[in-house]
Amino acid sequence: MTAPTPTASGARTLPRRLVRVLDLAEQTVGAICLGVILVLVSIQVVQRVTTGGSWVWSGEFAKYAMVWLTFILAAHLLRTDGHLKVDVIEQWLTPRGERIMTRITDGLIAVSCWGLVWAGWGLLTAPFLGSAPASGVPLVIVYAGPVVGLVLIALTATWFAIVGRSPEDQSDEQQLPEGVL
Amino acid sequence: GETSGEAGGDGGGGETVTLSLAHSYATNHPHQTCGAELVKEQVEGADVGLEIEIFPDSTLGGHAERFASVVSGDIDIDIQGPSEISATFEPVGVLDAAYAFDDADHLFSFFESDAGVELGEQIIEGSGARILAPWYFGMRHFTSNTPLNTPEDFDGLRMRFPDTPQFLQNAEALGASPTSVAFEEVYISLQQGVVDGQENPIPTIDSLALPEVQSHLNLTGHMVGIHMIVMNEEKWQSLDGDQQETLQSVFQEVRDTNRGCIEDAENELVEQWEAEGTMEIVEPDVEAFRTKAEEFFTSELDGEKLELYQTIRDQA
Amino acid sequence: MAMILLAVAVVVLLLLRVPVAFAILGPSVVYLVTTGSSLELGLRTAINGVDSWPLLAVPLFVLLGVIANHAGIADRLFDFALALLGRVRGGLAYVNIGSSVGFSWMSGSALADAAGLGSVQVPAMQREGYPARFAVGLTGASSLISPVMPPSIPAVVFASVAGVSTGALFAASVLPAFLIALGLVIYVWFWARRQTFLKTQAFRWQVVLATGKRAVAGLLTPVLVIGGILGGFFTPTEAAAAGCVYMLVLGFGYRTLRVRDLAPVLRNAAVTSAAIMVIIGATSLLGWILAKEQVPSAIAQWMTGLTDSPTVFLLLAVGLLIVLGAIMEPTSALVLSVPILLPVAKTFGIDPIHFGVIVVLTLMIGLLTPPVGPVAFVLSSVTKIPVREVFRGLLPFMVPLVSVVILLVFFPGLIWTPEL
Ligand code: NA
Ligand code: NA
Repeated sequence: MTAPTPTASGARTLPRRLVRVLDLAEQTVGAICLGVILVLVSIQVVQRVTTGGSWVWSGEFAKYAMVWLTFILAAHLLRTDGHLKVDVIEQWLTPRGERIMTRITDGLIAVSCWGLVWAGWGLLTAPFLGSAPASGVPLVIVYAGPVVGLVLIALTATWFAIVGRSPEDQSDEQQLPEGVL
Repeated sequence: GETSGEAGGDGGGGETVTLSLAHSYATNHPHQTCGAELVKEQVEGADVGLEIEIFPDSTLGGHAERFASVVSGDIDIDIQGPSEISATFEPVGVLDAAYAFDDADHLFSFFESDAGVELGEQIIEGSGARILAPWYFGMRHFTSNTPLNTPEDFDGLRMRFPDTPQFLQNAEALGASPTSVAFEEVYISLQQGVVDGQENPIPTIDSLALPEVQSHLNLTGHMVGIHMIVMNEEKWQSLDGDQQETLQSVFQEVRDTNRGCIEDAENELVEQWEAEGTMEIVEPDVEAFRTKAEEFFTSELDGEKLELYQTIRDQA
Repeated sequence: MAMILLAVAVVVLLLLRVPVAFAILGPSVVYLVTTGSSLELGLRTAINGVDSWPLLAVPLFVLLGVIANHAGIADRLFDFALALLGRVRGGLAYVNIGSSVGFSWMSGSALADAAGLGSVQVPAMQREGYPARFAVGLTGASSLISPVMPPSIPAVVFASVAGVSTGALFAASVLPAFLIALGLVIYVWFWARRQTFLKTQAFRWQVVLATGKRAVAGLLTPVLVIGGILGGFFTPTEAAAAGCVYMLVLGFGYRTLRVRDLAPVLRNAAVTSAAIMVIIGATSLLGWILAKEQVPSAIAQWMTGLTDSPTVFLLLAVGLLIVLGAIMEPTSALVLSVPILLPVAKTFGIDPIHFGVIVVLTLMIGLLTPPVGPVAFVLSSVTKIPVREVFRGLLPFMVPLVSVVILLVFFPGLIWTPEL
């Protein structure tokens, strides 16, 4: 089956070009992270089978790539309405009611994510943050990805709360990412 | 502002301070039954306005995570090893060097010496966590499917070590080739031959059911398992003199009881395995391992770490 | 009190269609602020929830499924199963189950099966005169073999949340997965007896050989992936990577995959993985709060007061999980319920691996039930059969599926667990 890449459906209301750049950037980072995970884990397999040894840092790097992937793409998922959610009462809400509800909940997402961004800033500037046990990578670098992701989420949610989502986001066809359970 | 927080019901005029005490060990481990629970009993019995709430079994997160929580003040007290603390104050890691300490007595007297006290102060400065007492975690030994009498017996074996710089350096010092396997996967990795052996204290070897998948217990005793009771420094400073004194003395006292329980558990298990023939107990040439490690560390360590290592060895 | 408010807030936000991750994160953040814990803790815990070696298998197994679909493995398996079983009465129905079993060894998710095989199986069955409801129902039910049979993404997630060995859980899941297949075979056998219209195809060795040759490389994937894990060559995470590499080689060999497909394949799998992982991150924060408030032990105490029978507890848990699975996407339901239910299960003396097999299978049934039935939605979109019809078609298959769950509850011996 072909893989239709989710289009920037917020493009009608969000500044079109910025959204396109962001979507592309986020997906590229995500794809690169997954590629890095695949390569590092594969190398570990080859090393185990051949020399028996392995780079101590490769496991940690792969995990950190997954952390980056998760938080950076979380912003992308919010913008493209790709997050998993519970669909129980949608049939009871009028379209108008649903739009209002979505505005309010986007506002709540924005507030809590700005809180986490603030916490993230505290983490990044903390005096005792330290570094990763095996690879010695400063944790500042590890945590920077999630903080950037949270900034993107908070910005998107704020925009949605103030301006509203575009009608395309409320399409009734359920969007399910390929391959979820 | 005032919110209906967790303790909304009983937070009246009593001014009782509740301290959280977290650790990684199962509820049947001596650190809980003969450690944390005794601490709770004695601290609350002292009637100085302190209560202890225990969170065993990594319920508040893994080792490293919880150390960060102690530093941030989200957990008050925790049982930690040198490797986690070394993430914020590097030289401490060397306490985990193979054969740095001879036994628990050596360990405890080090912490009471000037060098130990100074180290404690450096840790507070470097990490924001105070060391209330050192605890003993048991001697670490190797398990395997072939006897390990000398360092040469490591040849061709893939040994599982914890994934921290000091443990990996220990592997190198002892002449073993380390493989990283997650703690949860140790049993199955040994069962399936992904790795050939591993090292841990005896009670851990038992709780992981490793005798089912390993035939030899090699009493190398290559590490004195060190734990430190760490406490958030800000929280410590917020307590009054009585409370501080009680905490300090209770943890120090329980230290010895806890050590007794761990040693009993170690002896019982070894005797049981020997009697039932579950595992062959190997008494290896410890001197050969020790010499190899000591040569390695004296030539490979430098700076503050070397200094600390030598101070410890001089006290042996 | 704080816990009740937290629970109510999460439920209300979920009902308002707030994405699961944020419905959990929002109230958790409010909890941290109002109880004087630090927000840094919240962020650190969420990050640490994702920062896990066993969980690395999730994106890799997602990638494996995506590549397998791109490489056209599903079609090849279907053709081979058809050549083998076409002669049997109701043959296409058995082919449907058989090709799902084949695909399940290389896919860890039901949706990959429903999307990849559904588009082949359902039209083929309809052409032969099978009722649309039966065709789509059987396809949906058999797609559940994928997430139960190793490799299994929900099993990886369970193992990571529960702190048990992924490999052990994989090993324990093989027999239950075959039980599902067997249950469906029995169902089909009874159904086919009463159908007079069913035609059969001639059995021809040449066709079996020809389709077998096309399918054999795909059928070897489990030898590499599952054999690699159970044989001790790989950890599950490494096996997933090895499977991806093998599948890439196959795809390039078959010319169904080109270099320029790599970027969309990686993007697609990355986005899907993120949707799962972000929930795991958010839920690990909620798990911290629940633990801090001693919620699992309170529930355990309450449950042990209610009954002292592990079987009764398991049945209660199954009921709860079916409801949870009906209204939630299963990964979310899994990461939400395991931190609460597993400690309770342990106090009842239930083996975590045994519990894991039951939790995974029970939650997967929720993929087929309204209101939130992702497999039904996928089947509807690949077959153009209305969702309502799909749900109707799936309904009778609840009988064999739930029977397997009940069987596993009453006969824990069916689940082989390495002594842990
Ligand atoms: Na599978
Ligand atoms: Na459902």
